[in-house]
Amino acid sequence: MHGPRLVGANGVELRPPTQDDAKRSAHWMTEPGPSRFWGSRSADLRDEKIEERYREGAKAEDQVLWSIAYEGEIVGFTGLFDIDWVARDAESGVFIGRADLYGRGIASEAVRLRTAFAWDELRLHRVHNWIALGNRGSRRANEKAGYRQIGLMPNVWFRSGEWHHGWLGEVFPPLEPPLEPPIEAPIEAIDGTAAISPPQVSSATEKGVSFSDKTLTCRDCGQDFVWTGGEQEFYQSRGLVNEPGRCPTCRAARRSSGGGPSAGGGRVLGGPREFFTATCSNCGGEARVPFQPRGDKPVYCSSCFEQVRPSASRGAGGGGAGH
Amino acid sequence: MLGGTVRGKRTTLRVPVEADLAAHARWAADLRLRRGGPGATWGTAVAMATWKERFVEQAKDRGSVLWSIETDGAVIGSALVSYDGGATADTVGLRHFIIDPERWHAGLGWDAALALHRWIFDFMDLRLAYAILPADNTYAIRILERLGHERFGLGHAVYYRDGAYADQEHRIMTKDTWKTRWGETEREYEPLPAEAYR
Repeated sequence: MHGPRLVGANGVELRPPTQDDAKRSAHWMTEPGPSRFWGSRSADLRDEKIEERYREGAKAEDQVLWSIAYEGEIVGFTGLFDIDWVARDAESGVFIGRADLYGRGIASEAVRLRTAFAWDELRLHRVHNWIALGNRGSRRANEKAGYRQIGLMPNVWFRSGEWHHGWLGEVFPPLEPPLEPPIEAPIEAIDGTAAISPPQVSSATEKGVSFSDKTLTCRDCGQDFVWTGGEQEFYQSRGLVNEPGRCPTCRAARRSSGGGPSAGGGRVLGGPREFFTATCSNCGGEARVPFQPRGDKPVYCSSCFEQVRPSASRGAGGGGAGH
Repeated sequence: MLGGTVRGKRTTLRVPVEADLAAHARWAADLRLRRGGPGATWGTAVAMATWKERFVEQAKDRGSVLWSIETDGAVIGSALVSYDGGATADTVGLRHFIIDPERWHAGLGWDAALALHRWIFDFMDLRLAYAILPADNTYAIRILERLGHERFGLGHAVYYRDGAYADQEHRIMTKDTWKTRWGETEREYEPLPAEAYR
């Protein structure tokens, strides 16, 4: 099938390919520059054959194809191929046919758009690809989108008297380890008309028999968001038992601002922190502490705690309110 | 294409025939085999008529070779390899290699796999053979290791079944490895006598 139009940065767009694009692409692949790391530089280039392949590509349900446009002009193509809808895995590829445009970040932006589409629209679980090791530009474009090397196939690509290794990479959807305990309160139904109990984890669910979409409320923006069955399945496959606390937008914003556990700044476990008010044993002011004071030990506000806490504990671990 | 006769010690890879169709269809529907990582087409169970069409299409496909595996007159498995490498086509991928679960643990898979690799390196003189399979398919991995396949990649969380993902092994074997390990003992033909060249 053909992918939808995706508008990216720096004048790059992914567009559903046209027949003219297909003809242009076929001829790029016969050129020495673009074909250095792609194909055999030979194909059936009759118009009717190209059109036939174009129609087959549009019909195929195991691939999504795009043309890459740069400043309004078609300069290459990309796609997700051999999609396994059971394992939700696909192989990816990107091809820039205009050698004079290399180095402008076009492939990087195309790969970024394609990868986001794989997660956000197709709900794929994994995408992998093969790249000639010497094709540094393509590797960099994919690595920027999160691809990581998982293998190196020796001597698979022959050009100009030399064998080149094949770089094998994979990428997974971004995942924030969940911060919340399982929600125990009833969840409002999607249409808002009734309350439904959250599904209990049963042996059947543990075996991944069924996952249904759930509506959760983002703890940052307060908006409802859908935690899809596919996402739940992915969480379970990774042994994660807690539901996400933030909607995808807030998650992305938090990540980009450097927050979250991956940046070393967040808590890993536990629910929303509950604070208690007490009287500071040092200055008599109000102290907000994350534990229930028992009365048998002094309690300090943040300022006083900084003055009285043992020096050995300073700098060890994240901040927080006073103790 | 359909593969011709390749003899092992206890098994024979031979041309698939119509009488094998029922076994192929049965294996395709067997979850014990499907979880081993068969290819999409040959791992799909459908009607017998479709299987017959597949054999016809397979016979016409110049990019791959299919065999039935036989022992003692009974069909017990099948193998499919595909050529890679474009115009040079000096590499084959082991797309599908199955032994009937009722015949497991008898060494037949090893025997047939050795014969298949002899065809790849000793008969066809191909440069590389590779296999991509689930990392928990320990029987197949043991056979590949014994043959001389080495791991060059590990995909994570690729196959989904039984409520969890399994990793994916990428294995490769070169012609040099074949020659070193098996070149002397697994020749299909003895060297010709000198007078044969006169």
